[in-house]
This record gives sequence, structure tokens and C-alpha cells, in this order.
Amino acid sequence: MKAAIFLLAATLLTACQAEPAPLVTVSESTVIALPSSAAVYFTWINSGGRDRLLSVAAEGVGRASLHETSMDGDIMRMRAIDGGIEIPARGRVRLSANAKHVMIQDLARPLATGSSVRLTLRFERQGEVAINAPVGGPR
Amino acid sequence: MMMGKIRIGLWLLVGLAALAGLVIALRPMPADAPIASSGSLIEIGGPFTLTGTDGKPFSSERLAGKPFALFFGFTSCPDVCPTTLARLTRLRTELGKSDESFAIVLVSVDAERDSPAAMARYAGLFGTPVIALTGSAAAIEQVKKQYGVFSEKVAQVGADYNVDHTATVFLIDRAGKFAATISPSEGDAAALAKLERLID
Repeated sequence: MKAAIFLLAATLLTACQAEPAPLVTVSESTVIALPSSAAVYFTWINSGGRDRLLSVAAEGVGRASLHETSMDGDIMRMRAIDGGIEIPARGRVRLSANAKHVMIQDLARPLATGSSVRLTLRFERQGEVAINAPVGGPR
Repeated sequence: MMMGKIRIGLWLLVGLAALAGLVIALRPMPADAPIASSGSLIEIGGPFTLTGTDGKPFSSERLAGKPFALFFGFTSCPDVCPTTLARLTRLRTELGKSDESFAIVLVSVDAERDSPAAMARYAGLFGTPVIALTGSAAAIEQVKKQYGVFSEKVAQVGADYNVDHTATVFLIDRAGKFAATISPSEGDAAALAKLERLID
């Protein structure tokens, strides 16, 4: 009997603590276009529970992947990010220059300034979110 | 007994002198002091010949009498390299001087992919003159050595690679001497002050 009550209490507690669904919005997106590659930056606001950006696809544009630039003394190092990028509940993440960002390589065609690129962001919990990011030059 | 005390005293003096030497050697340098000055063992910079965007040899003699900011990078770098070059062009505008006040020089650390044509396309993105230089692996290695620059190919998915590299901007004065560096983490105010001194 005691065990059943404990089990019921534990179940109720778990249900109460169930993580709220994430609610992610993406803004301030920009594509920095270079002749053979591009970097994508954006701000990512989550007004719900935690989530994780797993991958990015830029269909028809090139091969997109998550990268991180870091400084090791005065040496710039850039690495692919394994395991995605975490966004906490009610958190905000900015993908920006010299930090975490999306890199597009093997461009199918040069990206014209003033055009836009459609990207599909794949989140662990929220699923796919499509954005249109405007293309600009280095800045 | 007496001799023993004198000996200990002398050793103490030697120890103090060594400590004083160490303190002098390790004292912090003023923020704007050059890393190396003329006559020191490590001289940063010096003459070089690389390849210009026209595919012809580019001698550093063409920069004689003109200050310049030199940065090492590669054209497949979509993040730090364009950000640094765009920052230099912006700072040059903010100084309120012409594009002639100091030259912006990009030296490739990716001889394998950076042809003169690739360098020309890349330099053309900044809307202001950027001298983009590439060359043979040996020629680039020589210039890297002169500036104490590190670079290393890092394999990526497939046959692709990135190049980790020193991201410091080197400022060379109109006499061709190393004047200062600008690091990516340095604020614009400090960078502008260094550029103002450079073109003064």
C-alpha cells in the first residue's frame, strides 16, 4: 500500500515537472556571402522549455553545418560542433562572428547580395523551423 | 669561520642580482610598445615577394614609404577572416582618412586553394582596396616565419579542410618597421589609437 502511494506521488510529481514545450523564434538572421562559402548568424529566442539545435540544411545552396570559432591565444581555431547547440528554457542564443555560427560550404552558385537563402533548422524537440535569411557582404 | 660568512654573503649578493635581472626581464611592457625593436633577436616583418591578384610577383618594395596593416587568412574562411578585413576597412573609414592612409594587406595561408583569381574575388568583396597576396607554399611559409605566424590545416568532413591560423593584425610603419599589433579581442578605441599613431 505504502509502495503504491509512493509510486502515485512520484508519478504525479514527474507529471507536474514535465518540461514545457519549447517555443523558438529566430530573428536577426544574416548570411555573410563569400565567393566559395558563407557564414550564417542569427538570434534565437526560446520562450518555452529547453531545446537543442541539431542541424541546419540549406537545400540547393550548399552544405551547411554548425561550427564554432574560438581563440587559442592569438590563434583562431574553427571546429564543427558535434551534438548541436543547447538553448535553455526561456533562453537566448546568438550565433555570431568569431563564435558559434552556421557555415555553408560547396556553394551550388554564388550568393548575390540582396537575395535571401532558405534554411531549415532542425531542433531536437520543436522539430523543423524554416527561415529566410537575407544575404549581405562581409561586415 | 669568517671566510664562510663572507662566502655566504657573496652568494646572497649573486642571488639578489639574479633576482633583480629576472624582475627586469619579466616586467610588463607598455601597451603600445613594439614586440620587437630594431637590434633585438626577433625582428618581425621584413622584405618579401609573393604573388599578386594579377598572378605576377608582388614585392614588398611596392609598399615602401606607406604604412600597412597585414593579416594572414584564407578565402574559404567565412568567419574570422572577412570579419577582420571588414573591421579594418571600417576603421580606415572611421579615421576619416583616405584609402591611401594605410594599405590593408591579406596574405593567404592556403597556397593550395588560394589562386590569384580566388584572392581577387575575395578582395573585391570589401568595397575598398585590399592587397591580396598568395604564393607558393614555400614563399608563404617564409613570410609566416618572418611574422612568427602559425597556421595548420585541419581536416573536415570529406576532402574539405579548414586552416587554423594566427589572427593578429600586424601594423608596419612607413619605414617598413613593425609598429604594433591589433588582436581580434581588442576594442575599436584601442585599435583606432594604434592606427592613428601608425599614419601620423
